[in-house]
Amino acid sequence: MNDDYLWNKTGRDREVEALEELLSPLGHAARKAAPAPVKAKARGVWPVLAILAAAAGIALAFRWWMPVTTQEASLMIRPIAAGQIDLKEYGTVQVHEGAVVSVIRLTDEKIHLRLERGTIDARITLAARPRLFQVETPATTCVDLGCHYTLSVEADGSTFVHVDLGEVAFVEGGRETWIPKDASCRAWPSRGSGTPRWDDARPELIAAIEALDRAKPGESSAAAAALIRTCDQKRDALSLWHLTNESDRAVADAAWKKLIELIGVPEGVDDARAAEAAESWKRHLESSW
Amino acid sequence: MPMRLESVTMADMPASAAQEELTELSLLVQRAQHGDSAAFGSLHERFARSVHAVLLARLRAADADDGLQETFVLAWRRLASLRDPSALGSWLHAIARNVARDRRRDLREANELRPELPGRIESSSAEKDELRERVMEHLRSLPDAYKETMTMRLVEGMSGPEIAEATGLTAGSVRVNLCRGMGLLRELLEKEGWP
Repeated sequence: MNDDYLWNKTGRDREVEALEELLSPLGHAARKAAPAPVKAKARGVWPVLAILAAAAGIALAFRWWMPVTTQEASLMIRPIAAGQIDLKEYGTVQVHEGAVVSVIRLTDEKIHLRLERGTIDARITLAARPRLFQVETPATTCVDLGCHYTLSVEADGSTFVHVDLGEVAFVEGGRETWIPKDASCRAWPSRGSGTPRWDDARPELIAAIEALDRAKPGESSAAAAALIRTCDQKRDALSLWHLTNESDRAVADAAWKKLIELIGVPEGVDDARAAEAAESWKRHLESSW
Repeated sequence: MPMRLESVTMADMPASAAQEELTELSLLVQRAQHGDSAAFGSLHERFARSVHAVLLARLRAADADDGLQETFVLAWRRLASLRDPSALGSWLHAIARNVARDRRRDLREANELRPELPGRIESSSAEKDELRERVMEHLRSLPDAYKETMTMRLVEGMSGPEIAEATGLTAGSVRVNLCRGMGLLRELLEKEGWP
């Protein structure tokens, strides 16, 4: 059989042409060009796209952007320089000078940025449902749970968050670290999240947390045990709660024991360690400090 | 004036022109490696179709779109590690295969490996959407070498010489992959009563 058409599109091959016609709408060019369906949701992100497009002056510093489409909405992967990203009813993101930020995804389901280095201040309103706004860094993904926070990434990818209002979570795979208002946390590319702590934590507690977060493999269990011993106030429950997820069973057990000693078990919770009790624990923790 | 690859491909060119094209690609890669995002944008434009095909040969269309972004974000971050600029195409395709593998694993864990849902291609009937997805499933069932080449050809509309240029395969290999892949696909479709 003559395969010229299959090879370089010369001549005719009706079978191949029929397949091309059927399948071409799935191709990159067709999907990029096709208009995205208008969604009936009142809080669409199209205004955000318009705002970002209007902010092209900001993007000129990099002279590069790539429009891509998905089933939900147009996307842009675009490094942006210092300035403010207006997320309309969802809030604003202030990009500090020197920060390297890319817009990864803008859909009704997720507003997803990547912060390669530098600092951003995110002011996310209550109009944004929890987890709508996420910022990926080399070390973790900072997931907004309804708040104001400052996120910084150092040259080595290590990440620091300080929460002014509400709460965020650092998420790496299935592991989630909860960081509420007036607390901060670090994360590292090789290790993921460290231990959250209050801004006004006692010096001995800060030292114990830093010892754990910087512990070498093989030393972390001892450092965790030392931190658990240092926790002796109700507000220390924030760091203890984090340790209950430790993979070292002995550390997790000790953290649970100390946590319950300090603040008790949430009302109505029969199995304190059950995954379903996590939200009850968070509310219980909040009421204890 | 830089040559445009959309109309002329290296497989069609005399050796000197192909060499010039390779040099242009190398220069673009080197510029991108030094942080020139406009150069990287050109590389994206040049390779998006073939990378999309590699993803689409493994993922449903919406996931392939997301995978395309992820592949180029990863490529931008890792570009400094690419030592041979002329190998950019095969390097991007390798990243795309890993992205597709990870996405399939994530989707499997989330039990979301469902067939493509109609809706994106608004002008098509539901039957056509269903037929399209059935053909894609047959394409995805082909051996790797065939399914990527066939997706580039039938879905992305690339010619054989363009595929050879993007993948780094010889023109002969691509032609063989296309012929054998088409033969296998034809057998699968005939079993379904494809006209």
